[in-house]
This record gives sequence, C-alpha cells and structure tokens, in this order.
Amino acid sequence: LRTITKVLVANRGEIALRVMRTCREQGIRTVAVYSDADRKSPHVTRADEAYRIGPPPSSQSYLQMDRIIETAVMAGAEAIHPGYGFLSENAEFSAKVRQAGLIFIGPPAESIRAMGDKTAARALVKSRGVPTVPGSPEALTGPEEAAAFAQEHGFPVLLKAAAGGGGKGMRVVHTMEELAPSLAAARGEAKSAFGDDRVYIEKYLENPRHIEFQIIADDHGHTLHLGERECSIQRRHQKVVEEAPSVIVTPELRKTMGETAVRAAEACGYRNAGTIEFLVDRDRQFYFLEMNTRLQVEHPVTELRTGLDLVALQLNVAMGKPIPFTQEQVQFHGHAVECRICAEDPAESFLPSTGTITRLRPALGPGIREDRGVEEGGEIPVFYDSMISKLVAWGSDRTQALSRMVRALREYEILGVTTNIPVCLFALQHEKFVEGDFDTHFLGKHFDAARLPKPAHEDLLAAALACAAQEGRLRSTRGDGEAPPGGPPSDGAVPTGWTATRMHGMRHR
Amino acid sequence: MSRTVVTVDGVEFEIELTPEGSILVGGSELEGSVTPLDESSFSVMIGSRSSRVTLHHDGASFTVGIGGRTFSGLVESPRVRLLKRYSGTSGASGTRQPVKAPMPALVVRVHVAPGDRIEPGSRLLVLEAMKMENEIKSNQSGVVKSVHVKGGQAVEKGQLLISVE
Repeated sequence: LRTITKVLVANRGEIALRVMRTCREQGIRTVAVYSDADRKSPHVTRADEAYRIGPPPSSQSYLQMDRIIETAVMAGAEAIHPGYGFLSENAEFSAKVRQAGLIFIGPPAESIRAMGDKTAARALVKSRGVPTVPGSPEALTGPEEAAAFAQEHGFPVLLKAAAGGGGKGMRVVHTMEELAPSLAAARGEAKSAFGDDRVYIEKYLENPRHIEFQIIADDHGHTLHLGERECSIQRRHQKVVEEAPSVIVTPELRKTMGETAVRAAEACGYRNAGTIEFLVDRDRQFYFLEMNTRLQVEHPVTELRTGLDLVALQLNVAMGKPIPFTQEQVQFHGHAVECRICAEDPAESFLPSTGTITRLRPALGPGIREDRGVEEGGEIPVFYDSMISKLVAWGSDRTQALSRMVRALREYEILGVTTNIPVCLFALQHEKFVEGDFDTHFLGKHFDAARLPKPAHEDLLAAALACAAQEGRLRSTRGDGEAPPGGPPSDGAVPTGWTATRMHGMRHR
Repeated sequence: MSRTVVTVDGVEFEIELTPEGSILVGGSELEGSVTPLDESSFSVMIGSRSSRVTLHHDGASFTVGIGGRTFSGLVESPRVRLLKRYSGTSGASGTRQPVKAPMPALVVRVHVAPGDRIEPGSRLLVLEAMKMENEIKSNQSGVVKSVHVKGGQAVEKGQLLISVE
C-alpha cells in the first residue's frame, strides 16, 4: 500500500476546496497552488500550505505542469489531485506526476489517452459490445463517403472533429445539398481550432437525453458503477441542472446501462473515478457518447444519493486499497438535484458577469448542500470559468428534492454579479421538467429571458420601497439633498426605518 | 424626503418616505414598514406581508434582489423624470450610442469596418471572456464611424470599441 499524508490540489475554486475538505477529514495535509488572481481565494486561505505558481492566465499558472509537480515535490506531498478541468484529463500530466515518483489521484495516462481521442474511444468500447451511435469508424475521406453514410442511416447527420470539443468543428446536416459544404466548413474549423482536420460522421439523435454513469475502479480488478445522473438541462453543451435518479431509468435499465458502463471503463484499463456518458433516445435505446476520465462537477448528486464520499474513494483507490463494498452493496436513497450557479446574465444572452461579490448569503436548511469556492467580498475573475457555486438538494423523492431546491434558490442572496438563478428556477418549475418530459434541447426550446413570469406586484412594490429608502440613506451619507429620511442628519445615527403600523400605533422614533 | 418616482422591472411607483417615518405610495399612506437590516438589505412589510430585499448600487440605478429574482431599480425625482420625458423623444432618434465592452475580455474578431452600415442585430465583433466566445451585436442602426480595437487586443469593461454615427 502507498501512504498519502499530504496532497497537492492542482486546481482552484470550489473543487479545490471540496477535495481539501475530505483530505482534512482523513487527517491528510493539504497544499494549494494559486495564481495572482486567487491570492485571497478560500482554496488558498483554507489550505494548510499554499504556493504561488504564476500570473492569472491559466496557461501561465494552473496549466504549468512542471511547476506544479516541482511544487508538490518541494512541499513533500506524496500525491496530486487534479480536480476537473485544467490538467485533469491531460495524459502527459498523469505520466509526468508518476515519473516524478508521485501518486496521480486519477486514472493512468494510457486510460486518459485511450478515451481522449473520441473516434478511437468509440471503436474501442464498440469492440467490447458497448452500443455507440452509428457512425463512420474512421475519419471521412471525402464527401462521397459522407453521402453514402447519410443514404444508409438517413438525415440528420452530425459532422464532428476527431480532436473535437466545445462544439468546434461540429455541424448538424439535414439535407444532401448541405452535406459537402458543411464537411468543408467543419474541416476548416477543426484545422484552425485543433490543427487536425479529421472529421467523422454519425447519425444525429434529435431529442436525446444525456444520462451518465459514475464509475469507480481499483487496482484489484473491481470496477463498479454508482448509478446514473441525468444532465439533460444544458445550455450550449454546458450542464445547468443535474439530477439522480433519471425519471426514465427503470431498475432494469439501470442494471443494463450500469453493466455496459463498467465494460466501457474496463476496456481502457480504467482506475479511480470516472464517468461514462450516454445519449438516450425516445425508445430508451442508449449509446456511448464519451468517457470523462476525472471527477465530474456534478459528483455531489451521486454522493447525496449513495451516501458515499467520492473523493475519499479516490484517495483509497490511489493508495492501492480495494473498494470497500461490492456492486450489490451500493445503496441508493431518495433523489438529488444540483444547480450550477454561474456568473452570467440571462437577459444579456448569457454574457459572463465579472466583478466583486458584494453580498453573499447562501441558502441552508433541510437537505441542502453547497460547494462553493468564493466568499462575500471575493472576485469572479475573467480568467477562469463563470461557476460560482453548486447548490445541491436531497429529498426522499423527486418532488421533495425539487421543492427544496426551489426554496433554496429563492433564499439565495447574491449581489455584485448577475447570476443564472432565474434560469434554474425556470427549469425546476417548468411543467415539462416537473413531468419528466425533457431532453437536451429543453432550455434552448423553452427559456426566454424576456418571457419570464411577471413578479407579484407586492414584490415590485417592496423592491421599490427598498430602493427609495436606500437612495435616501445614500443621499444622507453623501450630505446632499434636504431632510434625509428616517432620521435627522445631525446626530449621525443610522436611520432605523419607517413604520406605519396601525396595529401597534407606532411611528418611527 | 421629497417625492420620488421608482421604476422596478418597468413598473413605476410614486413613493415618499417622510422624515416623520410615514410611507406614502401614490400619495396615500401605506400600512407597513421599511427597515434596514444592514448596508445592503431591507426587511419590507406591506401590511403584514414580509419580504427581504437586497440592493446593490450600480451607478445610476440599483440591482434589487427579491425571492431569487433580480430587477433593476431606478430612483428619480419628479423633476428629473419630467426633463427626461421631454428630451427622450428627440434624443432617442438623434444620437447613436458608442459600442462599449460589456465586460473585461479579449477581442477575438472584428466583423465591421468604418463606413459599414449596421442594423439592429448586425454582428459587430466577438469577445472572449471566461473561456466563452460572445458575439456582440448592434442594437441600433447607423454607420460605423471608427473601430477602436483589433483582434487579439485585451479590453476593460466599458472601454470604447466602436463609434457609430
């Protein structure tokens, strides 16, 4: 067995903090690395040790492999946890960490590499009997091959860059006429984005649901699944709301999909925590999409539903210990839902909103967990992604979990940056979502910032009264204007407010 | 305090909070209370209907939060309001707004050049911030007078990008 007494977390924000929390619970010391933009961030202030690794841009800080590894060696950490994003799915980093004699808390470089090339990954899992969306096994040679494929499988088809990601080099094609020009365009985009113009073609599923399975694998030949997460509520391929269980997954389907996910993970010799993503069509046929070879943003959903700590499991597996339970012993309880609270403005076509968080009062109460990496007074810097917080609710059933989430989102107070909380509230309260009738196009199809339900008139009046009172307060501290409201200016006292409550017959002062 | 006109989410309220502590809405007294909790929040009672309101002062206007929603709130004196109403009609059609950066970002591409005619919805330029590319579109019609930035350039929030005439 390998001993871990100190872990360097090569990440920032909520995930760095979340990993450190489990380390601390296990008596493992924590080492943070930070860029100049994060000197005051909680992942730094709450770590046992912290080291500056560079200026704000990630390319000069959180992506500096050698500097991070040197820092770990210098600090005496035995292991590095990559979190998600940044270097987490970088095979070279995984290999370099091991070459430096350290433990990489994640999969071996070979697994990352095998799943990193999406075309090769599909061919690999297909050879193990995992269903994949019908597609060309090799990159397309030209428009004739694309046309033949479309003839055989029908439109629409999807053109996708082999090295792809983030929607670049991707085209949905509906007609034969569009096919050749779209292929040329996708190739051009792929070439400029990834320096690799290989494009492959596949059948495009029109109303798919995104359902993924959590995997954990140890060094002793055990690969288990921890159930599914439904992540169909997305905007521009970014997940917004995730939940477990999925309303369409029956116990039989869970068993089949879970076993298939395990086979897919085994195909690449997987170790540690990972996720198999599937697309599921209207007939509940499921197709392997890709494997994420890291801990996912939405892992708390699985933690609440299974009662497991996935980071603790990752540490155990990294130390060479066997998973302390069998597939049959994995228990699922109730329902969990997560909302990603992001600094973006739904009314301004989701432009990122950067700045200082001037007020932050999180929601608490029954069944609520929050994973957040910024505090009141903290900044949302322009250099990193816009996620502020993950709010997770657990309930004994879906109705309770959703009600708790709606309640918590309404209680959540954040000022200084604009957030997507109204989008989350919209989705959670939408008839189709509540009924379970939705797919990955839900937000694109239904959400319109200009058509959100009108607020109650009393809410607007309450807001207006507060504005008038605040304006008065500001004016009296500025010393302009005439009689400041709520109290004479001479005594310098903070105004205590205005009341006109007949019941108590009481007036201000 | 003199009367103010407060606009929240497009709805106008005429409000007067008197030094004596009375609340007047539209000239008549409201049964309720407005109590500051701290520097950025209030407890507001309308009758016995209780709400928490949070406020962020954002230049000329407020961002007001209530029940998970946020709205912009504008407080004006009746005089300013009147002036604006008169100038508003002539001003709206006459002046063109310069295009400014809505956030600190990197200019990825500029789609327009001086002399180009633009309409509402015309693609002007692409800004990258927080790993996302954001298309900046025109909300007015006019002719591009000058372009002040080029691809690859970093810009600050509020920085002038394009002048329109």
